[in-house]
Amino acid sequence: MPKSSTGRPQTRDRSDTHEYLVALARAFGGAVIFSIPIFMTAEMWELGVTAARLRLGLLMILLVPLLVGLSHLCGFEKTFGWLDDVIDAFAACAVGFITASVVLLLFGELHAGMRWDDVVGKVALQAVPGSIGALLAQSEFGQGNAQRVDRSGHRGEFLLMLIGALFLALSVAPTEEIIIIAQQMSTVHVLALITVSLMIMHAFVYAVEFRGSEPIEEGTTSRSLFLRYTIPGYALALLTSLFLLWTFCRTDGLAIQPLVTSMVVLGFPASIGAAAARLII
Amino acid sequence: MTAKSSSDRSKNKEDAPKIPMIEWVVGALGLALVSGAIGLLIYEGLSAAPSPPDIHVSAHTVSTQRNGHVALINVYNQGGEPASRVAISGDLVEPSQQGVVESASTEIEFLPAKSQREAGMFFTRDPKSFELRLRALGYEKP
Repeated sequence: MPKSSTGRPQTRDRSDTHEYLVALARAFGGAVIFSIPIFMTAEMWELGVTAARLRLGLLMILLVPLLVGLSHLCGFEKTFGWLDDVIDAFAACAVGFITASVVLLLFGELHAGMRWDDVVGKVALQAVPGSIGALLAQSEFGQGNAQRVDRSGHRGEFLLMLIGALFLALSVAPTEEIIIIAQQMSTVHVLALITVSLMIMHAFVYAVEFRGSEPIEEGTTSRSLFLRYTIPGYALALLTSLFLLWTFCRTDGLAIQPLVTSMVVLGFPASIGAAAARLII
Repeated sequence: MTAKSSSDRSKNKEDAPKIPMIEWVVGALGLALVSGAIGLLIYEGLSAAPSPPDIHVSAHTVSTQRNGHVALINVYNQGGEPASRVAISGDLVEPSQQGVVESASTEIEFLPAKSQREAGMFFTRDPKSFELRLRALGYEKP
C-alpha cells in the first residue's frame, strides 16, 4: 500500500483523496470486525423489529454526538476542527449503515416483503456498533495516532470510557443470557461481581496511568486514581448498562432487585470495556 | 508533536474549504442515513397505535407424502405488535358429523407485525377430503 504522505505538498488534493479512501476502506474493516459478533446474534435481529421505536430513535440521536467526540479523540483520519469531526462522524454512520445492510442482506435477514420500518429498525440497530468500529479502526489498524495524547483531558477520558462501555455492553445486552445470569445470582454473587468489576477496572486504570515507568501526573496514588477514575468510571458503566437494558425493553416490568442485578451483570462487560478503552484507543 | 499538529490546525483554519469533496459526499450520505432512520423511528414510534397481534391462518397447499399428507399454511399477523411462539392448531372435521377426525399443531417462533410466515402440518388422512379448521391458540409477547 503506497503511503502518500511524503508527496503531500505538490499533489495535495489527489493524495488527500487517496488517503481518505484508504482510511474509509479501513473504516469498513473496523465496522465489520467490531460488529461481527452482534451481526450473528438472533436477539439483535428481533430487537430491530420489537424494540420500542422511540427508544431506538433516542439511541441513534445519542450516537451522533458520541461519534463526534470519538472522531475528535481518535478518528479514522486526522481531523482539523469540529467541522471535520462532524463530517467524519457522519461518514462513520454511513459506513455503519452500509456494512449493516450488506451483512444483513447476505444473511437473508433483509428480504422482499418486509415492512420498511422493520428494515430500518434492524439496520439502524446494527449500524450502532458498526459506526463505532469504523472510528476505532484507525487506532486498531492505523499507524498509531498522536491525536489522543494531546487532546484528551479529564472529560475526554470519560468520553472514551463511555464509548468503551457502550461498545462492549452493546454486544451482550440483547442476549437472553443477561437475564438468565441475573436470575441465578444470589445477593452474595452480586456483591462479588461488583467487587471483581471494580478490581478489574482499577487494574486497567492503574495500567494506563503508569504505562511508562513514571506516573503521568505528579503525586498520583492508587487511592486517588480509584476515587477519580475507577469509581466514576464504574458508575458510568452501570448507567450505560441501564440505558441499554431500557432501550432493549429488558427493564420493563422488572422489580427493583432483578433490575439492579441485570444492571450489575451487564455492568461487568461495560466496566471492562470502559477501562480497556483508555488503554486500547 | 503538539507544535506540529497545532500549526497544522491553524494552517487548515485559513483554508477550511480544503476538506476534500469526497469527505463531504460520504459525510452527507451518513447524515442522510442517520437522520432518515431517526426520523422514521420517531414517526413510527409516535404514530403507531399499539394493537395486539391479529393472526390469520389459512391453508394454501396440501401435498401427499410417503407417510401421509402435509398442509402448508400461511400465518399472517395483521396487528401492530409482533408475537412470539404463536401456537396454531389444525383440526380435520367430518362435514356431515361435525366430529374432529384428526388434529395437528405447530408453532411459529416469531411473527413480526404486518408480516407473514409459512408453516406446515402433518396429517395421516388427506385434508382435502375433510374440512380443515385452523386457528391461532396463543402467543407470547416478545
